[in-house]
Amino acid sequence: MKETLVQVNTEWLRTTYFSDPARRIRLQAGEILLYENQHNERLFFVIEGTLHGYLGYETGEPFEAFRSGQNHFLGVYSYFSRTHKSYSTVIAQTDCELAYIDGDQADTIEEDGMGFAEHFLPVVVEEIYMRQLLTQRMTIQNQKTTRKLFHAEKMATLGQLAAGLAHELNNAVGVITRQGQQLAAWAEDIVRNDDDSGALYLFQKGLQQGSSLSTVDQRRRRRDLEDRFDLPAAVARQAAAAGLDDADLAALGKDPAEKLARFFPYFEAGLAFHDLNAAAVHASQVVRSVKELGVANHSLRIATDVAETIRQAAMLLKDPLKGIALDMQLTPGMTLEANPGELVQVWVNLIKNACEALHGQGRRNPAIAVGAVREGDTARIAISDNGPGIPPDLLPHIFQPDVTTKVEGLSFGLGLGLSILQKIVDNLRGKVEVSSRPGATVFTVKLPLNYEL
Amino acid sequence: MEKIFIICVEDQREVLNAVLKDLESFEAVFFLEGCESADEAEELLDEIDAGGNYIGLLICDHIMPGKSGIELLIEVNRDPRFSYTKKLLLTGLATHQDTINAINSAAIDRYIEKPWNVDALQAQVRTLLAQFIFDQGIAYEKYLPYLDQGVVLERVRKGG
Amino acid sequence: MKPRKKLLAFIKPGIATLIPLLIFMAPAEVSGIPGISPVEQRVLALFALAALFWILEPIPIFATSVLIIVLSLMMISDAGLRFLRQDETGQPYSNLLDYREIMATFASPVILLFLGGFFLAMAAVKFRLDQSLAAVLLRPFGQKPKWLLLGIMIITAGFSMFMSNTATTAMMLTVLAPVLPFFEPGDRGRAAFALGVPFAANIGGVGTPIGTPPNAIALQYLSGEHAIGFGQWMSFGVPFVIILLLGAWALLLALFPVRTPSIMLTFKTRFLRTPKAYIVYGTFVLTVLLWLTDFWHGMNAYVVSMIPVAVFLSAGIIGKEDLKGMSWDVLWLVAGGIALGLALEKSGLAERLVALIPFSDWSAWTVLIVSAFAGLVMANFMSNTGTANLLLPIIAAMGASGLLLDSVGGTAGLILGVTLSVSLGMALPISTPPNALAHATGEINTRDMARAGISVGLIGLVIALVLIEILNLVGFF
Repeated sequence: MKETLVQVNTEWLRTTYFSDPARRIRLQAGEILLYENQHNERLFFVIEGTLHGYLGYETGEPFEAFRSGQNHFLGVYSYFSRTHKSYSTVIAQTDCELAYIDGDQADTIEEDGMGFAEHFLPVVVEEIYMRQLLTQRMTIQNQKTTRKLFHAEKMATLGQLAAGLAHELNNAVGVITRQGQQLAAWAEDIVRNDDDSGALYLFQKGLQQGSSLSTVDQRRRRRDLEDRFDLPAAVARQAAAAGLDDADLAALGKDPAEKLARFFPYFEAGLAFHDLNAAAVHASQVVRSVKELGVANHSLRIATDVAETIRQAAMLLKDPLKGIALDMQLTPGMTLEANPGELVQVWVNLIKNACEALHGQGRRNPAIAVGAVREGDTARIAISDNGPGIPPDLLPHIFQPDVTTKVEGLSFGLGLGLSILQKIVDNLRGKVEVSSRPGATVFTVKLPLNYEL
Repeated sequence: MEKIFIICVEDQREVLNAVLKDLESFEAVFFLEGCESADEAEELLDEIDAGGNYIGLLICDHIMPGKSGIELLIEVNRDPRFSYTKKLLLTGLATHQDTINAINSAAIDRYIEKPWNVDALQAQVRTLLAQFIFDQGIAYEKYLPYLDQGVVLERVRKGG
Repeated sequence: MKPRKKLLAFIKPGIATLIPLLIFMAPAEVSGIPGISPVEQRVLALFALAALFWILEPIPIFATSVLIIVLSLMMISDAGLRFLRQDETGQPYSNLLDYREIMATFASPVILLFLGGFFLAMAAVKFRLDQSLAAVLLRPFGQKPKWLLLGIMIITAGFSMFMSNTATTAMMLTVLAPVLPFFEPGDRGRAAFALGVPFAANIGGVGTPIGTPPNAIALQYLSGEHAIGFGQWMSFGVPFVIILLLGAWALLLALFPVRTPSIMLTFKTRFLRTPKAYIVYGTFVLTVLLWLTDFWHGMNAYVVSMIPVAVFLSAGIIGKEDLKGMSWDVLWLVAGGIALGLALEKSGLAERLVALIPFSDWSAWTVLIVSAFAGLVMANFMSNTGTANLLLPIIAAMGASGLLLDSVGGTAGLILGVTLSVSLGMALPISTPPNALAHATGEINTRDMARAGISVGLIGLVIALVLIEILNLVGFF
């Protein structure tokens, strides 16, 4: 607690004014020197020990006003202000020894020609300065706390909201999935009881395979069918959509066009059920990720190898990583207490973002670098890409869950991806940082290795 | 006789199927094509244009892997070959900024939110196709049942 | 494309080209027309080509018209291909057409009369005179469906006398479209309204020479001693319109009774009160007045029709872009018809053909009824103008051939009878563009349209025949 800026010649003041052995007090730890508003005409000098000043000590909710130690002055306010009232309750924290002066010494003139007041001016100024500093510090602390509280509350609200939403949606999606499957099975039975096997075949094809061909392949196949089988355009389109191969067409007999026109609705019905189910599955996946945002999953925490989770993530992303040079420099043996699944999710999220930033940019030599190094007791993982970068105006907001962040090739899944990520890293007492310029976007995750729950 | 195409671009296959199904009725006189990515759509646009046919309407999803729907629409908007092509953005998620961008840079004609209402989508498609046909100066008679009456009547009245 | 589909796609133009080509190539004897000259044979081929192209429509009908003009210039004009201009002995054919005359069809007086009409219509639409006038005129008819329908039909017919039938229909349907869904569910009266507009537009076209293109073609043949002025045309055209309109109104109400008790039409337009708008209103009134008073000031309808053109261009009411938007296709469609008629007449083929057909045994009334009926039937399946383009040259030739036609008012009576009947083809959505527009509203099915359209057509045909008789009796011709 020695941050004085004011030059006080403590030693000189002590020998000059506080050397009277009669004016000494000894306090034991816990003893009270002064009560708030107590009459006090003394100016104390702490020779040894620490004392704390409290406001509102009597109310039972004391608020610490200052701390005082060796070579500090006490009672400056009550002594010099001439109100002679202590503004705080001063309690000895340790055994203390104090010297004091009392009475009016204003007339005392020393050999340097300066009066008492002049000698103590620096002490008074320092007192004022210290109080100001205290106020400032308290205000800043206050603001920080408020902000933290605010953020925590926001996350908690969002979490509750997400959990509630997830619950409701899960119920609804569950019904859709279940009844959809029921309906499909029921429809399949009806089609099966129909005599024509072609109808069942096409229905099942739609139900099981969905649109098996990509639109490009469908178009190619359609033209092929038009040319080779002399099918009318509409029929060829249907056959291509149903993904029928030559053998299937041959099985349709002499007039495939007529048969197909009759059976195609069955394929469409099957396809509708297939798509219904696919959409329901997709919806439940989305619900799950929303839920993860809200409810941090602490259930499973084990010693986890950071490098291993990164490798797992890269494996999951084999497909999007096609055509991209991936450079991994992973320091082995960095372990921390974490849910490995969550950690994988963090890397998946970051690497996927990088992939998507690179895809479709037509950039030559797209590359992603993943580096994991130990820095003291912290693991520092950096994932960088040479994509187009994140627009500067968006950069400060990308971790906010309420900001949609899909701009120019940057996809954050639901717009929640990065906020989920931050939540996970937060729970591990870690940090995520991002820097971005065209050609170099770096996400840096720092995780304390020795953090324990 | 030149063909008029309606192109739907949507990366999710199920959603694409649903859009195509909803616009099936237009196939009586128009040609309907689906694409799963912006790049595929660009290739198809080139091909259709090279065949001397028209792109009447481009229906585009917003968020797609690779090039986004808005990027595609911006490119089409800049392309003089498709200056009359109508552009419809079909999206489940768009911020204010996206919307502004879509209107200012891509000059989209319509904006429909997912999930869409079939009747509303078809009505918008009718309107856009009617505008395209009159803008492009194609004889409208053959397409009449599939065009928005209000647009047709107004344009015919003005046309004398 | 597959070969089979390719073949299908070529059937229409194939037939339409092959038959005329055969006629063109065949030796003269094969035609079975005694004494036919090579030039006449070519005209016959052209006529076949025109008929097939206008009926089958392998190309747009106005393109066919231009094709006819160009082929005429190449094959039967005195500036055509050299080897087609002279016979084997090197003697030039005597019945070749003057190329200037063929080219002049693009700017013949009736074409310019129509152009004047277009200018009036375009200015009216541009300054929303059509909508604001419709709003004012419809007000007295109230909200009772029966009278409102009559009002709508009268106004539609009135407007279509000066505007194109199609544009008038579009304008009135725009007014009507928002109201139709609010009819009581299952109210057949919807069909009455949706049909009333195109029918009234088709009928109204008969009212003035500029009402519909067939009238222009008729005017082309009503020259010299048979010439009819604008006012004269209206003197029989308007009564015909009024009587047929009332008939159609009654018929529609009988076929599709309206149950909805009251209908509220809303108009958002108001008369524009800008200087330019006043110029439009003034010019419109002035032009119509001048058309009606040609006997007094001496300027015929064609000359008067150029006045709005000059005024609107000078006042900047019709600009460069508007000019590009003119219905040049309609003008060229008519021009082709005129050129075809010219070729038939000047080559002498028309006369030769008419002489071949045993008309002389027929009474004049039989000739009129048969040709009017033929016009009505043809007009239901093809463009009214195309029908007039094909029929009127032959009808005019009949008059010139010296047939005894006095009982039907001579050539003029015959031409008018056919012209009126050609405008009565409105049984199918494809019959006229107004029908197509009305059908596309989805408020009427083809059956209902056919039922009402055939009835109105036949009623109209009877009224037309009665009208010719009356005109003949009062010595109009």
